[in-house]
This record gives sequence, structure tokens and C-alpha cells, in this order.
Amino acid sequence: MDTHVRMEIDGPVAELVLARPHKRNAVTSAMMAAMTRAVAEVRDRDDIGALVIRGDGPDFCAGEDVGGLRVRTVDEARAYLDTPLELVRALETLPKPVVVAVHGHALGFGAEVLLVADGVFAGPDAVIGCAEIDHGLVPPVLLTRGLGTIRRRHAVALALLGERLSADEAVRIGLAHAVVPDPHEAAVAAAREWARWSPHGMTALKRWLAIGIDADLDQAREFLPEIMLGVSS
Amino acid sequence: MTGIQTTMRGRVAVVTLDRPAKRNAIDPALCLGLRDALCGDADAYVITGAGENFCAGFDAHALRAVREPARFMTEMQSVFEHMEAIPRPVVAAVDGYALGMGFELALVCDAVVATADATFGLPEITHGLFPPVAVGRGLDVLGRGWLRHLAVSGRRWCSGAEAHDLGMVAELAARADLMAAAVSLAADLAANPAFAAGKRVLNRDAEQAYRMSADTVAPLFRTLV
Repeated sequence: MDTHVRMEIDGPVAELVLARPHKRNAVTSAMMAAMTRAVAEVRDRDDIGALVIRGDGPDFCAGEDVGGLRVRTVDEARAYLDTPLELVRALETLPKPVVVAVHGHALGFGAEVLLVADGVFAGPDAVIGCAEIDHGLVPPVLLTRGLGTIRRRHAVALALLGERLSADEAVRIGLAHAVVPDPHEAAVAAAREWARWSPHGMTALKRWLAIGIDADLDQAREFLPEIMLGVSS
Repeated sequence: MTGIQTTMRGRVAVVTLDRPAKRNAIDPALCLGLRDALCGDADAYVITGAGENFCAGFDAHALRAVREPARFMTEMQSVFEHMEAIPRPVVAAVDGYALGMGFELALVCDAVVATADATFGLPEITHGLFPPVAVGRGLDVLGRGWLRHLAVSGRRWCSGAEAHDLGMVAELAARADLMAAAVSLAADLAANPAFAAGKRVLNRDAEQAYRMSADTVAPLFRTLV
């Protein structure tokens, strides 16, 4: 596994931990690919019933590390984009509960991952928003799949105005589900409880909740490369 | 013994789920009675529960006795589809528990009036089931973020006030005023000459919203037995 991502398994709960605190857990392509492999392991292991995602250090995830974005063709842009999209697809189609503990900043990809989580527990210090606008980019998942999760007006404010939300505001629009003093503890407690529900019921439920994801992510693959080419150095 | 009582308030029919000892849980007889009650010539309907609760969901005890769960699911689903298809307003008046199928029943109504401390929740998954109608129609009402949280957790119950914030509840009312508020809202909707046309447009995708047919959910009932 990538050195900046680790998985901790305790009984029926797997915790996927972003471990790059000196960079506020900004995720690289390598980290996201490692996360996708970890999600596949969670899917395949019958002894794991739920997944928690959290971050080391003072922030959950400050976004995607786009410092090295150099794409010259649509195909290269698409290949770059496929890593985060595959991770989102793996998370939403995982037939087990996905719970996220948010503290500090959850920006860019750190906010988009909340869109596909079954439970988002946010600390009172949480700041949630889209960092893409700072780089002339748009958040690929929020503007496609995310429109089923949050309302269009909120998506515009987040993605195109760069609005930052407090934990309370995130709960109000459906990007988080509870504000708690200790999000890690709350996320693990929820994951332990939800891991007990019947795998058959959970598989059926999550399959229905994931309807349309392929078409939505295909839209992201369609529209994003051109925007990426425009800002590539 | 259908477990349904209907009374008229002016031109509005108040349809009461009347099994208070079972917190108005839905069994096959009540399901058919509800459908019949919504086939009258009233201008509008209000659905409510007898006693302290709206409806605590399906009656698990009765369901275990159902030989063909797929047929029961189809019948229940046909009641929901009927509610969406009739050109008359259907308003839910919710106090106490609206859980599982009770939640779904409220969800499918054109509007919900509730007390601030009513309790909405989707506990199906804790029984190894899932709420097919909530997952279909609930997407439009709650958005996928809250819908998946309620359905996957099975334990996160919303108060009426929270459900109002989430867009599930149109109007909050004090317990003493609940029925009057629901009847008044139903009459207001019925007074709109364009109501039937508007409802038809809104529900044009009913087939898609209800595609989670009995075939998917019924096999899960085996885990109940």
C-alpha cells in the first residue's frame, strides 16, 4: 500500500486512513489508486462489514494534489481523471456501509468523497468546500453524481463560487449527517452497528442506491478533460 | 376488519389507520382496506393514524404468516401507485411514529403535515430488508445524501422538525391542530383547478420510481422467517 494511505482493521470495521498530514492529506493519484485497491479488499473480505475513512493530523483532506497536473491530450486528461472516478465508483458500489469522519478541512476530493458516504460525521471545526476553483478546475463528481445528493443551487455555490460550509451547514444540505465532538469515535461506533445488518439486505439496498452511477461518472469523463487541458501547465 | 376507518370532514375524507394496539402496523387486510378507502368520491384525502402514532411500518408478525411475500409487496406497492395516480390530493397527518412502510406511506402522499416531535425513520435494514419505495421516490424528496443515511443506518430517526428542514414535511402543527391543518391543506390543494394536471406531471415517472419491484425485495423476506 502507498506509504501515505494505510488500512487498520479492528473486528468487522476497516479504517482507511489518509496519512500525509504534513500536506494536510492532499491526495495524489498513487494514494487514490491505493485506496481503490483497499476498497476492493474490503469488498472481498467477508469478515469486514463496514468501512470508515478518516485522516491523520489536523485536517481530513485538503483536496487533490494537482501540483503536477500536466496533460496534453484528452486521453491523458481522461487517464488522470479515471483514478479519482474509479475510487468514487468503488466506494459507491461497495455493498457495505461507508462512513466518513471529517475534521478540519475537507476540500476538493475530500468534499466529493462525502457525496457517496452513507454516514458523514463532522467535527465542529469542519470546513467543507471545493478547492478546484482555485486551480481553474471544477469538481468532477460534485457536478455530476453529486447532484442527486445535494441540491443544484448548493452545488453551484460550492463548485462555482468556492463557498465553504461549516459542519452545521453541511448537515443542512445533505453533505454531512451529524455534528459530533469526536467524529472518529462516532464514525467507528456507527460502522460497528451498521456492520451487523444482514449482508443480503445491505447488498440489495446499496445496489439500488447506486443506480445511475456509471452514467453519471461517464458524464464527468466526457466533460472534464477539456477543462483540464485548459489549465494544464 | 380491515383496520381502516373513514370519516368525512366536509368534502375531505379522513382515512384512519386503526390498529392502535399495533401502532397501526400494516398487514395485508389493512393494505387492501386503505386502497378501497382511497377509491371514493371525496375531493381530497387525509391519511392519519389512530391513537398516538401514524404507522410503525409493516406488521412483521403478520408478514411471517404471509405465504407469498412477493404478492403482499406487489399489493402494497399498488396502493402507493394508486395514491400517486388518483387526481385528488392525498395528505398525511403524522404524529408519533412513521417508520418503514409508514414513512413510505407519508412519502408518497402529496404533502405531509406533522408534529415537531413526530418520528420518521427507515429501520428495514435492521431486519435484513430495505425500503423499496423510499429508495425510489425518496430520492426526489430527500436527496440521496439523507436518504442513504436513513436507509443504511436503520437507526437514524428524524424528528418532525428535522423532516421539515429536509423537505419531507410541508407543514408543522401542534398536536391539537394537526388534523385541522391537514384537512385545510388537503382542501386548499383540491381547490386548485390545476391540481390534477400538476400532480400528473409530477408523477409522470412513477413507473421508474417504483421499479424496485417485489422481485427484488420479496426474496429478502426469507431472512425474516
